[in-house]
Amino acid sequence: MKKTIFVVALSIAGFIAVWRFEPGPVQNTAAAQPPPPAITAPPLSTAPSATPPSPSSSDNKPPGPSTSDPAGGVVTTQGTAESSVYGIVQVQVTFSGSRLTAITLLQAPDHGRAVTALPKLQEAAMQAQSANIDTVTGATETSESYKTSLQAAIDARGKR
Amino acid sequence: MTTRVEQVMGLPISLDLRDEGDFAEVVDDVFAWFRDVDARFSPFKEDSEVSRYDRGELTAAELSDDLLEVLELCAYYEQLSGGAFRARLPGRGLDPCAVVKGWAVQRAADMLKAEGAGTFCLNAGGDVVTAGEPEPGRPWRVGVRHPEQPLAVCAVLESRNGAIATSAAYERGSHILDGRSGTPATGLMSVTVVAGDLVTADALATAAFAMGAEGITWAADRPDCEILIVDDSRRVHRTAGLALAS
Repeated sequence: MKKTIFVVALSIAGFIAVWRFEPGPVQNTAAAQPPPPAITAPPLSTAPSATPPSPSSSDNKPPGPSTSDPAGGVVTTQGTAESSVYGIVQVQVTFSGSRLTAITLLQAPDHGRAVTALPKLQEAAMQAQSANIDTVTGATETSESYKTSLQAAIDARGKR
Repeated sequence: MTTRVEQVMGLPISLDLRDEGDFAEVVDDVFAWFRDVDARFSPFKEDSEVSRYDRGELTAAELSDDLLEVLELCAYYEQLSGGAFRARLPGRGLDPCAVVKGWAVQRAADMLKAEGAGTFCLNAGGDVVTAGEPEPGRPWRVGVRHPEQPLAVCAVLESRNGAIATSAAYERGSHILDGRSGTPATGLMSVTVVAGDLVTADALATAAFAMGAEGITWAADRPDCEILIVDDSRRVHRTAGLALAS
């Protein structure tokens, strides 16, 4: 049981740390280099029809000790409600034996950041010269579309 | 200075490495890694680990740590998106591609950094990881492709040690499905997400695109990213922290 409490506490701490991470401009996040939530995210069980990793195979993933609990009982623990810059966050963590089986958000911020809606795409559009940019983000997913893309022009410039 | 472009994993992958020195070996390793990922995780290859697992020829206990990590990421983003993002749609095979791409490219960037590379831009099918800055004091300038004009951009973003991913339907039609309905996603023309790593950026962009219009506030509410989204009525939505180039 002590192990379970320890693991629950670790999970909640990790989850809240992710929630409370305050993003800045790209330059600042670069300096901070926070661990991506994807990596800190504990394995979650999901709908049965999905593809949850099997218990036997995810033994190396829980953040705490993962020795099997012979009792194998289901334990559900609620974290304390923590305030973050985005509002109150509270999670509930469920264990089956020593295995984390579910994380549920009990409270989440109900309002997010403001999103600026600019009038129309034409006004934001610009005819970029490939000389002005280093690379292009976009869905360039086939070799055919790549050949005629801005990225191809940029790559060709680099080869000279 | 090294540049390399290859078509791997069904994607054009461009590496622009500006560090002085000989990085030929790690660059070879990076592209070998992409070929390896393609062989192991492509649902379109019959003998890939993903296909064999999907057919029941491998049990979960027999899967590699890499595939387990990918499947856990899929489960995480499925929960986070309320099911809009799904690696397994009803009646279809397991397809973790949406997570594999960002995960594999981020891993490649980490391989480069581990070998001492600190100034590069890696672009895989329009998903970008940057390291350092190409010139002292100047960040990487990343154009966001205009959703209607292949050779134009609708914004230019600045990036240092970050990741930018875009999901859109302008290229292969509506191939991104809303996992909640199983039908092609509608409502948005393109979703660009800026995050600290490409796993996050790519998964959030795909999930937000799959959600449609509600993906705008959903993505904006994520604390770990900035967004630039063009909706179907051609409005541009962006978060205040987005690093637009001046």
